[in-house]
Amino acid sequence: MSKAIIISNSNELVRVPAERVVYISSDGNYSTLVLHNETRLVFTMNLACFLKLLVQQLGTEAQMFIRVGKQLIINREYIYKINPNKQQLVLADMDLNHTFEFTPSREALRLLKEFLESELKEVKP
Amino acid sequence: MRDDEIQVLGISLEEQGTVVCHKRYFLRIAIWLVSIGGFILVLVLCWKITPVIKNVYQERLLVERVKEDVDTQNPLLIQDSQIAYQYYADNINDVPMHIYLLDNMEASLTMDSTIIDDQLHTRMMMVVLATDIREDNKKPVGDFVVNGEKIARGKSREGYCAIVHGRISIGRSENDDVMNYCIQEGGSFFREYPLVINGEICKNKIRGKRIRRALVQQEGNIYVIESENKESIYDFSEAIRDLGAKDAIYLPAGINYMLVKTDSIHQENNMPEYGGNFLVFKSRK
Repeated sequence: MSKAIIISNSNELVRVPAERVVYISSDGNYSTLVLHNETRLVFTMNLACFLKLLVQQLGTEAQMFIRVGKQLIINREYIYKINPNKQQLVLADMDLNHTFEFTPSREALRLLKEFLESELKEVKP
Repeated sequence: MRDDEIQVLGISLEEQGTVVCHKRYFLRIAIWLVSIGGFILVLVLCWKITPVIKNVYQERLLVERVKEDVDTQNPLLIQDSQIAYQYYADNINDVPMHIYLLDNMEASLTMDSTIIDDQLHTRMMMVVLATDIREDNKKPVGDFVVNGEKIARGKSREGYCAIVHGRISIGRSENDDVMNYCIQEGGSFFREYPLVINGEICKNKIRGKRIRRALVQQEGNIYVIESENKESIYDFSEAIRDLGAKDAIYLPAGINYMLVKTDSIHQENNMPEYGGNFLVFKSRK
């Protein structure tokens, strides 16, 4: 069972298991956390604050999240397809009813692809 | 964080994607540096090659000009006179000058001073020192060709006098094309400081005031002009330019050897102690 992320302000507290978070996107000072069931939670904090919060609460488990560019943090467990040439990033999972598609920069996608490939090589005996 | 970077949360930046990014930055910087270096290299090559191409083109034009000069130089102008040239005294810009018009002459270059001793040679009318002589090897300064044989080399002086079939062409050249043409035609060639080229005064390093002498080309005529008084090289060049000269090169003057033979004038200066090089004008008759 993975750790939960707790986001709290003066009015409310939200607690979600980290593995259920598909991605977090930002729009300036607002961040939207999207769960696997397409639930969208909007918070008044920018992505940098969200990033710190994740690292503080999850510790090493925060490695499941990867920031891609300035406006997106994704859960690597949901990565389904990366195509830098088509500038396409698709997040999906068997539990998801549909896919999430993004268009980050080609360079970021290429780096993400290389990073995941390098991890694959490390796992091999 | 930029749009083209990634960051894995929970581990230090150095351990993960940013390192990859940094590698990419280094690669980009390297590509930029190589591109800038290549661009600079291209600029340098253009800067170096363009003058070379320009020089080659201009040098070809010079060779054509020498051919034209040799073909179109005025023929026998003073048909009835025993004296094969005309002498004037003129004063341009307060520079008194002796002017010798040499159209009826056949020019040659020699290093044989014995030919000058033969003053009974009726055809020989004027002899001047062609160029300075080096202290070390007593050879002429700069490229020097006599009847197709190369005697000395050097390009410290850009002005030239090409002699082909007894006709003279004067100009400025940094390369060997004109000289090679002279060698090919069995002609002669020497270098001196350019004074006036294409009607423009040339800058020269010659300092002080001395008696000045020049070989001048103007509208198909060849002149030897000598200042009466000591003049700076610029004043002398300016006077020659104002006289209407198109091209002129310097000739050693002062106490240097000069033989002028006419009915009224017979002037002869010091013969060089060691072997000299002489520009000889003989009557065509």
